[in-house]
Amino acid sequence: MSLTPHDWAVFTAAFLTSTVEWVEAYTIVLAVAVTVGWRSAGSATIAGLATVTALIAMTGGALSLGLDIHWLRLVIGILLLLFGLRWLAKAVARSAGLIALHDEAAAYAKTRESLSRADRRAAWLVAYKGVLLEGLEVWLIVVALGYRQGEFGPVSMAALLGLVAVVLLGIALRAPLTRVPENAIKFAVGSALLAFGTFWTAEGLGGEAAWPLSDWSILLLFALFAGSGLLAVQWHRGRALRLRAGGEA
Amino acid sequence: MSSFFKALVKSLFGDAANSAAVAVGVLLALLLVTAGDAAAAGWGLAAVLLAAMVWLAGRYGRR
Repeated sequence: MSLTPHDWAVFTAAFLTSTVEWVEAYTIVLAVAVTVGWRSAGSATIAGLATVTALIAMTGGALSLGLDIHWLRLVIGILLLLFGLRWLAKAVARSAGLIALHDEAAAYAKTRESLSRADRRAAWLVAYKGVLLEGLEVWLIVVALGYRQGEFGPVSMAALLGLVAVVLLGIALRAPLTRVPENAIKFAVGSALLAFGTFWTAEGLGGEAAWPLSDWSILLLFALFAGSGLLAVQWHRGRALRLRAGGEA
Repeated sequence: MSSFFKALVKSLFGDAANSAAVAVGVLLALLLVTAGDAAAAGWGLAAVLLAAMVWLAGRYGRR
């Protein structure tokens, strides 16, 4: 079978757009992995992918179930905001010296041990829902592009290749990520969760009109939250120093 | 099972200041969407979250 330039264009579009969605899912899974470990995050990922597969296989798609993707976006967006805001604020407070930095080498294992079962389950649920939502979005991409193309096979293959590429990248980045200080990861992931949460919440409320720049807005939001977080660290650090100097005088 | 959901809700909403900040942001976004300005809803939400992030960081430091 020879592919025409149009086929290649559809294939490439499906690969790139689904890869973006899988990368978004990976970011959420990474956040959970930092909190409760890769084993739990991996099981949530597998459960999320299995649910998406089952939904597609048994019902012919989430929309035929009457599932409104906007409501799903809104609920998951708010969930991410609740986690992301707390994480980023705490990471800023730690970086500014307002609360003690974790002993980076030992704290990761200790934190995991001390996490309550509820926290573990909540974190697992975040990863599961993140993968589920992104998986459903990939499915919508496959349906939209495959419908126009009239052939679901190559488009589904492109989406699957996108998933494989992101999984391989995730495995490759897993070891280097463990050498990055925990608070730095929490700062970055907190910013990312806030960016995704803001994007999905506004899109859930206002539809696609909420973001004229589409998915590019996520990058802008991430830059905004991370940049403002760095400025907040400087501001709180200076304020803490002035308060200490005032107390000693 | 009910204890699981209770624990889950506590884990998500247990930090009242954090939950309140998110609620204010989402309400502002909802108001903007209702007023017909969906394009401002997301950035309005982001502005509330930024202010909340700076305030919460200071608050965690005072605990």
